Amino acid sequence: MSTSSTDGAALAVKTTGLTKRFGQRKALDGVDLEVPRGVAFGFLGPNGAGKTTIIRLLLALAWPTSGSMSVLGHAVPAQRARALSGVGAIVEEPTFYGFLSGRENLEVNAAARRGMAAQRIPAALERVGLSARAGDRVSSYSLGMRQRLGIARCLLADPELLFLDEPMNGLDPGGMLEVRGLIRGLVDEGRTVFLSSHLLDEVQRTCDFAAIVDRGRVVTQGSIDELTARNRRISIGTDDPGRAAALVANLHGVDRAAVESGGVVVSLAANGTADRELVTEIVRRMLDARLAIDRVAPIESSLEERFLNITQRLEDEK
Amino acid sequence: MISDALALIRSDLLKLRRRRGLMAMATLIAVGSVAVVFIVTAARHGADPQHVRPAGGVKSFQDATDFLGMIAVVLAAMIGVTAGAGDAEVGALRDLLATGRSRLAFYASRAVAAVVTTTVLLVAALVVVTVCSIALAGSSPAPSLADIAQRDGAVLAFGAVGALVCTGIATFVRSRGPLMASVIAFGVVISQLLLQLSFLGSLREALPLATFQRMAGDTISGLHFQLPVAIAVAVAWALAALVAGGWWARRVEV
Repeated sequence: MSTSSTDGAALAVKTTGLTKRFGQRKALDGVDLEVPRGVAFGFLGPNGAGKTTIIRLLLALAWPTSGSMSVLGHAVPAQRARALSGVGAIVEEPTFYGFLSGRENLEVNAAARRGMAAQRIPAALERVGLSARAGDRVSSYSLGMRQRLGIARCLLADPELLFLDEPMNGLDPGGMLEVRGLIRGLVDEGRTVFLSSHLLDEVQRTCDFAAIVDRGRVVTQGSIDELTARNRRISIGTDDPGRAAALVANLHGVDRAAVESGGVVVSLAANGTADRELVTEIVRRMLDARLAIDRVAPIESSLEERFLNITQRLEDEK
Repeated sequence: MISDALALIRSDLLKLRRRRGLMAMATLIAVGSVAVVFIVTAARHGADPQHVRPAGGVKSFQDATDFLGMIAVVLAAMIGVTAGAGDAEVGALRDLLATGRSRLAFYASRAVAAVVTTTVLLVAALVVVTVCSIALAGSSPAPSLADIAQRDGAVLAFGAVGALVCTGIATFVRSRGPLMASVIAFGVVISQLLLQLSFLGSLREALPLATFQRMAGDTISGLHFQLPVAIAVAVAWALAALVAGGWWARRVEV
């Protein structure tokens, strides 16, 4: 495995051809991932897609079968100590010693870190709103409080990079809003947040960039705008949707045209003709065919649709 | 460097100390059991001094320290296994390792914390035994300073070796209960039986219980091994378990 420490120095995380096998099963299959610094990066995938496995590898909790990776410009696992000194992480779910208080749990973690970690405990508790309950045993904490204590534990490192694995799990809407605010606050301070989640809506609301992983492979990655733009669709109201769909389906730049709710929905190809020209061409062709048009409107696309589109396509290919 | 290591050890001591049920039980077993033996014997001697010997004296001291040898196995199992497997059992090992700190540093800290905690409990029990053996000696001879040094030292060494062995082995498991039960069964019951099997000859010298009895100055039927051999065997047990545990701690995926 190569262990260059300069590769990916400009990136918070970089993996190249990362593969992990558990016996015969390939949990990760040649993952190439690039996470820019100073952004909230969503790592999306269905359960069992390999999200937690890649986090475990990046935190040197498990070893890759092949490939290379770097965290904050340091090769992992070779330069693990340097790489992880600037990293805070919650893996799968925040786990604590239930018989210790919230503050004592942070003291245990601070002892594992060198430097100023112990002195950051009061500020970290304050930031996540747990100062008043810091002396209580963690066994009496709600799940939301544990999630917040987990974030406080991450802050002890004064991290440049945070790995948060499903931080919204089990939270009520208020708790989710709170955690979302915390994450955006961290990004606003220039930190990078790597947010693993299967909650597509949360990733779209919280993150700037995202990657979609499925069956151990990164299927696509980019900014949220880019990812959703790749799913561009327009809805056209017309008096003969069936004819309209047949007319435009084979146009260059059109992926698909289907009759839907009294009109035709046209999916534009990701790398096709510029939208304005293509839409003009579609409308011109319909008018030439003497079809009446009563509306042309873009359909707002979501990350969820993009995700389902990709994972469904993979399912079909299987 | 040293302050970093001490901070880690302090946090492992905190984790052990705050397990109140475990510590209460361990204290009861260590101190409570020997205290009860002395109290009952003293009461019986007070009621019938002609037929019941005094609760203290050198013979009672020998019996009590032999008993504490057994208790040391139980304490080492409870404390050592908890120190070694506690982080993994509650799921917090991942969060500690994700700090990037050396896995061996965590492992060494757990081993030290186990030895310190076991030793503190045994010292408390030995204080009770030693004080009672002298104070309640009555007409019997009290244990000499040499007796006290040898037998107390043997109990403490046995406890420390047991704690190290248990911490090392516990690195391989995620659940404490079955391992604790196995260690106690081996140390308290199986070792006693094996020690009685004279056809095993000098192979019995490899038993930790035999090394304890030799260090304490007891005679073992058919065994005449030297003190340095007993010490070497005890050190070998501790080293073997520690090296195996350290190897696994470095390799294990969590």
